[in-house]
Amino acid sequence: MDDAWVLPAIPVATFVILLLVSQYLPRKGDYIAIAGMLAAFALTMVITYDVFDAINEAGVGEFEGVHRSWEWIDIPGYLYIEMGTYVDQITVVMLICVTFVASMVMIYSTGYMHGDRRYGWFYAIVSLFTASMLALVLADNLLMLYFAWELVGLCSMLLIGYYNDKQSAAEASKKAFITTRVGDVGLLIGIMILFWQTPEHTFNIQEILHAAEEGEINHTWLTAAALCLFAGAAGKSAQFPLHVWLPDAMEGPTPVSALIHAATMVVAGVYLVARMLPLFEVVPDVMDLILVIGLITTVMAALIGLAQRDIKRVVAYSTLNSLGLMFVALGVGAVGAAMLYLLAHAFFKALLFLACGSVIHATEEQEVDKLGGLWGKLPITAPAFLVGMLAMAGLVPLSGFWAKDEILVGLDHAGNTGALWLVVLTLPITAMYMARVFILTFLGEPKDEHVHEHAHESATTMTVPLIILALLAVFGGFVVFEQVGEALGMESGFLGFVYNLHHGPEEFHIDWTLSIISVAAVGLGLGLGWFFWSGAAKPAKVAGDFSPFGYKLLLNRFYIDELYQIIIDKVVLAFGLFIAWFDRAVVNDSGVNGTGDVTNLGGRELKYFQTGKLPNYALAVVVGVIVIAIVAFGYRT
Amino acid sequence: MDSGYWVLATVGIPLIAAALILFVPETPQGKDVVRWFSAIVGAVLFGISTYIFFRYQVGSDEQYQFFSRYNWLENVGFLGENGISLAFGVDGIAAPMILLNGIVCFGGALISWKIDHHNKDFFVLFWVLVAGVYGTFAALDLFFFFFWYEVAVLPMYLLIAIWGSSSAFETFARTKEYSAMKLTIMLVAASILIFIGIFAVFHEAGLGTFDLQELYLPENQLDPDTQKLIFPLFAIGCGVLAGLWPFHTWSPDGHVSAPTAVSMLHAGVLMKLGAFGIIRLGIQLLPEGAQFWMPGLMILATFNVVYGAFAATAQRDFKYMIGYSSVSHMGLVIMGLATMTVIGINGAVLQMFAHGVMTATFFAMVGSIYDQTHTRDMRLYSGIVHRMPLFVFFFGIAGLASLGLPGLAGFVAEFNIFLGTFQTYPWAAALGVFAAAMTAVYILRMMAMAMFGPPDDRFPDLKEMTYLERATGVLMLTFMLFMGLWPAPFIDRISETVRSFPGVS
Repeated sequence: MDDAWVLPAIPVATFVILLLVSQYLPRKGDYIAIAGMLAAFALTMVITYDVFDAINEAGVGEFEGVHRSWEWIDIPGYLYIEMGTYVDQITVVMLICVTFVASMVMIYSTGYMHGDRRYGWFYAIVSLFTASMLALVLADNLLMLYFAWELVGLCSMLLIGYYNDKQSAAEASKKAFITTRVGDVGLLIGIMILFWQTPEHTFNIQEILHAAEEGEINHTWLTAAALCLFAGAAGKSAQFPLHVWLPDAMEGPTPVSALIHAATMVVAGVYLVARMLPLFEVVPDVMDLILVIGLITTVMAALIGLAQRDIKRVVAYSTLNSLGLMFVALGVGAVGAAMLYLLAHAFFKALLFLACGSVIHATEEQEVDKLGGLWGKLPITAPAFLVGMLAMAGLVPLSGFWAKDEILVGLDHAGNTGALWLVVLTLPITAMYMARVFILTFLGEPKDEHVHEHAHESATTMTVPLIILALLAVFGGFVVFEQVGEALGMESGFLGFVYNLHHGPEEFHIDWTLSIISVAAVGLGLGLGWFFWSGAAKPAKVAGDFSPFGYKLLLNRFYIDELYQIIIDKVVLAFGLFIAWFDRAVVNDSGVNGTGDVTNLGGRELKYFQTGKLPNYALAVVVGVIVIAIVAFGYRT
Repeated sequence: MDSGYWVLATVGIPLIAAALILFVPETPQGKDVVRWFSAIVGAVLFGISTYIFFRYQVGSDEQYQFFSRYNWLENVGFLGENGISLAFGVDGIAAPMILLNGIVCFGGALISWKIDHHNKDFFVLFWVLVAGVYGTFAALDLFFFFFWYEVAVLPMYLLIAIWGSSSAFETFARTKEYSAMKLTIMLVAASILIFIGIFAVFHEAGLGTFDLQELYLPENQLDPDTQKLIFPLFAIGCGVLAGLWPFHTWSPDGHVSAPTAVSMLHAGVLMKLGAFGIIRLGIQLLPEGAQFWMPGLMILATFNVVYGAFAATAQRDFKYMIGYSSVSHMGLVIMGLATMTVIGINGAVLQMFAHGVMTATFFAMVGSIYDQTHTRDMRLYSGIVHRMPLFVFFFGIAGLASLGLPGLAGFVAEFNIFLGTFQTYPWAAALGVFAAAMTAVYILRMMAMAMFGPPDDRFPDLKEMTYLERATGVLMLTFMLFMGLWPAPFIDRISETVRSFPGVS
């Protein structure tokens, strides 16, 4: 655990190697990246078991996390910044997500990206991304977290814009970076507030949390800092109103969507809030805000998901849906539930995206209007997608069910009935749109014979990761059971493991009422999905005719993107144009040139007084004397 | 050991080089001789600058290392014992600035390889300018500070008016002659303020000496009211060169009209002379005056930062965009200085270095594309990356550094500035962070518009950068990464000196 720094160092090394020499290597050096990532995964498992051992040794509730740091900046007496690693339970969950999904995605990409002209660059940037993500979750201080946070955003931008001959990709990458950057402004300000308000003037997360819990930080500043940190988290995790970049991020290659825009980077915000939860808990108002934002995001995404036509976009909105749920869990302080959902989500959402990728690879088409009837054609991809879709919908006993159930239990515990029912109400909607996209893609009659004929199952390198992820999506949720947890080495199941951090062990139990309600809701949603979109009758079309306005509203994502576009064009850019005009016309042409003109004019006019004729000068002297005499005389009397 | 000859060499070598170039005959072979010779001089200066930077000892007893001093005038008229002397020395702030000048002048000499029109005269002026910059950074005498300052500023007029380029847009036009004239008049007018200030200090101190070390002594400090009176002269006078709002308009126009290497030196180093002057003449010489006026400077600096960022979003010419982004980023420097805190001033000096390197990269890159197409209108380009991937790589790195991406130089600097500002002026820091986010808007808009997207057939002959341009890019990139990843060598040097300043908390 002390040497956790090796973890990000491995992909950094592969990044440098690939960047410099990949074009001279056979296969552009993809095997180096994959070997590095598998090594990192193996190391993660070593660290995981070290943490299990340390927890068992320290006793329940006593484990404090392992910390190691190095000096980075030192201005004696003013500023001391260390870079270091901190490993505890939350870190371990994140490490497993990142290294495992990254390994799967890299193996899968050997098939998916095969023959692409920027193949080496792809692996280099994915390596850099993983390194940054690992540094982010290992960071022991907020500055290092911010450091990695921005690098992660950079890699995301580069990968969204990967197909650099498409203008839409360039626009989407710009949008992603700038939108998240809006949140990052908050994050940076929040970090600086915490630095100055903590008595020790430090960036160290544990010290800041300690100071916050002890009430050493002024409450008003703490509220401001919590809001700012949450703004950063909302930007990265695409929460309303900063969610607009995530669906557009689907311009990137599909494996990237699986890794960055589903399994790892977008949950960085969830991680940040989970990590800083003790601080947020001191300011309940901000906790409520997190809950509300999470609810808005999850409901909105579920509704929009119903009407989207692009298979990847539907899955992207399902990601928003899930991220919203995680924030709902955090909003009531259920950090264990949030982390469990995060882990399960990483598996089933990566699965869904990679399955999408397999469909796109097979058909070169991603509009559901042109797909259909692919079940027999894609014998591995189709069942894999089905598993992912059911896990996302939350059908018992798939991993999504257990995770979602824990969130419901958390809401129930917190006594927040309104939020609980709102989440339960969105369950059938989620199930419905997931069923819709499955039915339209894989069942029914093929809508485009040409596409259908050319479809073929993908290569083994792509299907094997699908199978592994599908197995995890099915069985991954069982870690909540104490017996399973103990068999794996965790003292008391997953929740006890995570809760050990601050609250002592908390036991997993099934709330039968909630479970039955949620299963019924999911079943209802799946049934409705089947009713609306299977067969030729197309009641969905009837619904669209019935409420064309509602349908258009959903299809256009509540016009939020359009609204932002107007704000950018009509406010920000217009103001920029005004300033540029002001600078040229007023400051320069009037102010600067004006000064010059006045000088010039003065010289031109005054030159006439210099006639060179003696009588003129003599006259001036006489007039002068007379004037002075009169003034002097008048002054005296 | 730390011999003063190293610093003398940085001033002497470019002057001697300029003198020698004068004697090269103006033939095709002669032009090549000038090119090779200049490249070698650049390399030597870069080497010496690097040596001075790393040889500078942190924790030494001497405040000024590499010290040398030659009396020039003493015991004449008003002048007393020490009078005027050619004194040089390097402290923790001058050390990174000298390194910066070495980097930029080496890069500029390489980039100017392409210049064919009277390249001999160009390089004579170029090296005189470089000598002036080195002299100012190391000068420890008020009189010679001003002397070197003027030596650095004046060659600019000819360099822009002869080798520059005019541009015309839909709504307005700027000729190179206009830009050169405006730049010179504004800077000279500002110099007059500095000149008056210097004599006021000399007279009020009544020591009969221009020696800065002597004037810095606590017992020789001017009385507070005089300091308050003189400080604005230095703040505005040097501020004009640093691009202080509203005296900044010479800078974007000047950048746009100047030839590539001159833009590099101009934005990369020359504007730093202004900020450096505020430190040397303002904060160090007149601590009480600085304390009194800094809140006002903070307001102007905030204007700079936000105003420059918004103006940059509206530009369609590569160089104008970079020019206004310089106004914004130099505003950050002044903001850091105006905090009067150790962290803030430390950040300001870091930003001087960071901005110098990244802007020099920007201009070097723009030059490489302008020389091929003769237009800088970004709307005319699309998908440059397909023809010039390395160009986009270097441009992109500089862009990321300027929008404050961690791991590159800009972040370390901006972070220190914001942290220092936050301590004393939270509102200004918040606006600064916001403006830094605006940087992302204009840089990425430009990248999406011109660099990426479908390849365009308007300029089918676009070729990748020359090897010299690539070398310049690598040189700059090295230092951007160096400072971004391991800022300790810079911060150790700078902060040690800043902590010794009076009146800085």
